[in-house]
Amino acid sequence: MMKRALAGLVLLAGAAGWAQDATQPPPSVLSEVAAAEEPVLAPRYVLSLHIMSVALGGAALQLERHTASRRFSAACTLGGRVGAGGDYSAYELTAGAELRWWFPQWRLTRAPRIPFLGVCDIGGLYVGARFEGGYTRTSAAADGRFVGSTVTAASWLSLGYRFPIRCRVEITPSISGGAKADIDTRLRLAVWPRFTAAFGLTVGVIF
Amino acid sequence: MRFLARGVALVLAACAGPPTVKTVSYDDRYGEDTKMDVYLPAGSGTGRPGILMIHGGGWTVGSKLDYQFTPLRLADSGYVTASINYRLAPGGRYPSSIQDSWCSLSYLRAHADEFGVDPNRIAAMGYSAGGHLVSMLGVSAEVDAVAPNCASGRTGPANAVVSGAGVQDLTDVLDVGPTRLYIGGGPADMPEAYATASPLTHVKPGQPPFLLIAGTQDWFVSERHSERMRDAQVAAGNHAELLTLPLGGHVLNGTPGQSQLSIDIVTETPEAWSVTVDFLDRTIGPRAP
Repeated sequence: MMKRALAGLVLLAGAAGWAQDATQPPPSVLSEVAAAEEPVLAPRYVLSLHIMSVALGGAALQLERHTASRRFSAACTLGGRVGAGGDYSAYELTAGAELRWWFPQWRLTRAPRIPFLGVCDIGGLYVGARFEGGYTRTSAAADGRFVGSTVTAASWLSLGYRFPIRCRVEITPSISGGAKADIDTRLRLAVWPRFTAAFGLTVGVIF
Repeated sequence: MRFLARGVALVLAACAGPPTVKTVSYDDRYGEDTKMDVYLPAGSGTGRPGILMIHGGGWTVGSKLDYQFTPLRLADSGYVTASINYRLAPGGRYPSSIQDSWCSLSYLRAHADEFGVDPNRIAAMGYSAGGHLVSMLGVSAEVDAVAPNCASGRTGPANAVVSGAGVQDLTDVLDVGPTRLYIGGGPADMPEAYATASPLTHVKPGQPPFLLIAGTQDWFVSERHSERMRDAQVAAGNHAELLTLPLGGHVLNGTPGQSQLSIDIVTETPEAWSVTVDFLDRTIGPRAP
């Protein structure tokens, strides 16, 4: 009720401003009006599954929390997979963190424009900075002989778009470019930093 | 403590400076097409293990510069590493690329002292079409149809082979365009050439150890190639190992965290690196201190 009253006040203030210059409403008033049109929704968390991780024989789960303004969010990822086949076996454990900056003006669900998607404060375009680390241990399949292990560190700049559906479910494709380095834990190989590009996709629930 | 000591050794090695790169011609008749970059580990040394790297590109595109970071890493790790150009189709049709690969290996061995490499400890490593060519360096030393006719002459097989997504049977390739261009016709028109150009045809006892690396979702070169080659080598009494990467593609693979698909080849995944260096240590021996 209080929030609605505030929104009404903002609208009134905007109307007053427009009355001063009906042909040229100041941009600040426009944004306030837009903000007033937006519902203030409760969900701030998103729990997502990285689809590629499943396709690659593992699972990586991501928990993300938005700030009150929904302008920023922080996400952390934990994952694992069983990799390698043939005469070898391997597993990988990973952890990652990402800071995201959201652009609400690019959010399709900012207002009730698309009935199917509904209205949601979470979603839209973002840029992010992601840091990931991984540990991969490889063994011979026949006798379990330890073959080697690698620590991988990666940092990415990412660009993505989240589609929230009725503020319950989300789908987020993203592209990333960054640098990663492989470190052989037995130090038989030199550290190997390089640039790379990547594509990601998450599906999750908003709550 | 041992880890720390190795770390210090690695830092000291890094302080010794980056590898030196020498560009040489292994066959003067074909200019740039038959040049190779030799990456020499920092510091002086002799009798080091060597790696001959052969790029992919469907026998029609690519160059020695496709492999830049990998030879740098290997040279930084103590291997004398050579990355080669070879004649490409349609100008350089079969068997020229195989002959060029043989010439580069014989040149490297003939100049072993110059490069500080042990001529009896040279592995061949390649990807895709390069995986095919390195496999030929393991199996076709006595095949006259692909014998080199360069100044450095014939040589024995590579001392170990690491074939990533390598074509082992040319009649079994999904995209037949580059293969037709390379061989000069289709399998029905030139069955003998297809058979002779296929490493699987030449498997017999006494051949060097093979490590075959393949992605299970490689749409260009199916993992079947690597499986069949491993099985054929083992059946012949030779040593062969297979590493497959789940959902590994020809150029797309999982990233750390496996949260994304990134542009990487299967031989550059962490597990492939671990397996490769372990295989090299067991076949061509450890690097010189």
